Amino acid sequence: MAEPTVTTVTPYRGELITVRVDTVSLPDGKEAVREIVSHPSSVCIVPVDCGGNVLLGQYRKAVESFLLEAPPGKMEAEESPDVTALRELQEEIGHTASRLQALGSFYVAPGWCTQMMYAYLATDLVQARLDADDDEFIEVVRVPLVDIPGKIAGGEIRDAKSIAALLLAMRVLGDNWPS
Amino acid sequence: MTTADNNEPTIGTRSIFQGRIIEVRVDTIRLPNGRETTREIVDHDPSICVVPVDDNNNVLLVRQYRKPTESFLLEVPAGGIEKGETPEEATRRELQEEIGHTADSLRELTAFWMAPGWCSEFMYAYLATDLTPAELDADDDEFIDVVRVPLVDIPGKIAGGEIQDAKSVASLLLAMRVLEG
Repeated sequence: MAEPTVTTVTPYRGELITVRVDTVSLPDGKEAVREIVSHPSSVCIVPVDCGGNVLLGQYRKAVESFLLEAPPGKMEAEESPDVTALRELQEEIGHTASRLQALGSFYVAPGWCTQMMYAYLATDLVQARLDADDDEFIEVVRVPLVDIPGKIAGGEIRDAKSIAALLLAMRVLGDNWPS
Repeated sequence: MTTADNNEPTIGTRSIFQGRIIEVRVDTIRLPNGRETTREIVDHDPSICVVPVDDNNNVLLVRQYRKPTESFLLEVPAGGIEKGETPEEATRRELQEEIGHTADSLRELTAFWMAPGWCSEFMYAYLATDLTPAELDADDDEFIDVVRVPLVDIPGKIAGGEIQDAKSVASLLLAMRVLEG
């Protein structure tokens, strides 16, 4: 049974996120409070060149540390996820891809956040002009596909979308591709 | 510019919202090029998720209504780490609360940030085996159905969009790699 909204308040409307607090009616007739963060849908990309993975080390303020991540990006209004993926590929790592394959889509944190993430595998990469956002400072790191499981186990790749997208990509490509 | 030079010192911080499970703040930071910008950040306590696998190679998943997505989702059991709890203790508690089982074997699969661009939530993922049914001790405001899914059917359910959240996809695929050697 769904949780119909009884009342809703919006304590914060920001640039990126909106916070609302819904009072909902539960199946047993009682009420509960749900804190919800609205965040635009996003993409993440696993760009694979003819010999390895291209990943990012990008400074991430919220966690105060560097992480190796599959390049992510927000979908602009009216943009389809595959268009976003190609745009972000250019903006974040300076490549275009002749081949883009959908790996799946998943909610980032469905207990309290609306954000949906579309994951793509990008291959047949061609280097292009790097066209980065003004406030992003990104270093591109190439990691062989066979080393990905070790980097996940070792904690070098430490975010949910990257782990999910990389493991989905490995299922498509096979662990030892392109050997 | 090297990695070590690339940091974002906080110049100012403003608290925006303080709820029961999340807090929101807006930090003003200085970029490596000297300019200033703001970051909206959601603070959330650390949490756990667990892939419980029974002796017949079924995964015990939970199906529940998720208000943020306005849909029923099929997920691995998960929950917050309470004050004074270790991640392993939180995992054992959630196994009991969400699926009514104890586990003789608990292995850490990995740990990850949920949304490192804008959120501080850090999640530990476990594989639980040697399960024993125990009394179900559910939270008051959670209405959860337990669904057994054969391990071999998991990739199809991910591909088909029936399992549709990052922690579940990541932890289930890691668990399959561990169990399949």
